Amino acid sequence: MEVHPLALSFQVALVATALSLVVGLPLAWLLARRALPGRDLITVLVLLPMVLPPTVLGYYLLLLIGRGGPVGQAAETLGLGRIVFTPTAAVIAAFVASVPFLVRAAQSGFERVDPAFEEAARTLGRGELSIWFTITIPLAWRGILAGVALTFARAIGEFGATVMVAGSIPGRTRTGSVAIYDAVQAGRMSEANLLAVLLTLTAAGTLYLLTRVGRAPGW
Amino acid sequence: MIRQLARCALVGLALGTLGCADEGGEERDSPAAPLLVLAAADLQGAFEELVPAWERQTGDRVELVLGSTGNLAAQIRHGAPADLFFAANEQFLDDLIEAGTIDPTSRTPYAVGRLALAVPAGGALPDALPELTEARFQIIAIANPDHAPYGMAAREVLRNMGIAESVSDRLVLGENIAHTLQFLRTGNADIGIVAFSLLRGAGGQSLEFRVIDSSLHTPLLQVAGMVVRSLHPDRARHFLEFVVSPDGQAILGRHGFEPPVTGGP
Repeated sequence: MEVHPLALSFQVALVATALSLVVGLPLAWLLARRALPGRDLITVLVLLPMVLPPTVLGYYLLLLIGRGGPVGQAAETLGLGRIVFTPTAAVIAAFVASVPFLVRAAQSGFERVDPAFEEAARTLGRGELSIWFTITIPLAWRGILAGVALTFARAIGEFGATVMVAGSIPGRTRTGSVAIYDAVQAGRMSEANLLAVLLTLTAAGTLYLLTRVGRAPGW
Repeated sequence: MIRQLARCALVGLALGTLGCADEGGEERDSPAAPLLVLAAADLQGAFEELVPAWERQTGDRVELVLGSTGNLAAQIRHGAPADLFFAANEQFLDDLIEAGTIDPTSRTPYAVGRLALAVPAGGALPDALPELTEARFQIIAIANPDHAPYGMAAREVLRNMGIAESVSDRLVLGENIAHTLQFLRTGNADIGIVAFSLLRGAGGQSLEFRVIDSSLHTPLLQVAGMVVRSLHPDRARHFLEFVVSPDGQAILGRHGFEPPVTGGP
């Protein structure tokens, strides 16, 4: 049973978004709160995938996670196997392309949290991690949520980098956007139209849902 | 200036290419505008030699856009301001003729492409195709058989050798034949079935390759045609005639193409 391209896109985007949260949230907080050495350089590096053509991104990734690349070789040495042309490669491509959206939105969310709240908790003897999860994150929630929505929407539509590192293997790495490209190339317009409409509805639906949740009372 | 840039951007979008070669801002419909020739990616080496030869001979100018046949066909179907289309097979061009975008009287077979088996330098080419099932070939690169002519032919070869099933989970699909070759050149594939024409010259430098018996697949008959909306039909016809002339065919031959079996226009 072959996974449908759109189902695959959904899975890839979900994992990439989760990964973006794990990596992006602490980074966004550091950028918002700490006098980091080289802060501007880090900001530029984080935002670069937003402005680079996805094919350039894909090319860098290929050099990095390809079989000759440092990450690719490390993974094989560690017994994790090959990365290129696997669903993992598709996730990495979607992650790199979409994480800037999370960092950007979450950072501005964090910046809007009044440090006085955290300070108050600190004087009451709360640990830093506890403060982060019970005070900072809940207060920055809207920014984070906006970031999640954008990250997911960007990840589910990822094409350029994906095609470079994941190939187009049916059921494994042929995501919705790659399938649309293939269908257009082959002149199968009705298939392309159907996939395009479904992908658009999925992305729009996700954005709508998260916007509604973000506006709900009590948040 | 802004309008010129905007037009550049529009043409660029339509062709899926970056940048704009027409710095002088010539109108596409002016009589002096270069011929816009859209050609399949496997023609890269051949046309990079053929176009300058024709320009020297006639003083005319050609702007060459290389891409996958399917992609170029989609662009022409949607009104790309091209004059000529050199496809890598018959089907895509015939579809355009049926759609009324390519002039049926201009339909011209101009070459037959050959497939080649290639491995990254240092790798050992198998003596026979059935060896593709060996464990040392974990990743086999072919062009996407859904829409790329060389991919369709490669799939036929695998089927005719009776190994399509046993290697199916090792296949990695390039979006066109140049993309497939890139998988090999970057060392990310162990072996690939690619266009012989791209391996002649610089393209094959870091690879070992051998041509595949053409009786194993339907001949890759490549057909060209003139775009109905072309504003330079006479110049376009001249260029097409040059490609099938002995001079043009000699260049194509040097780049690994065989002459079309069905003759000229």
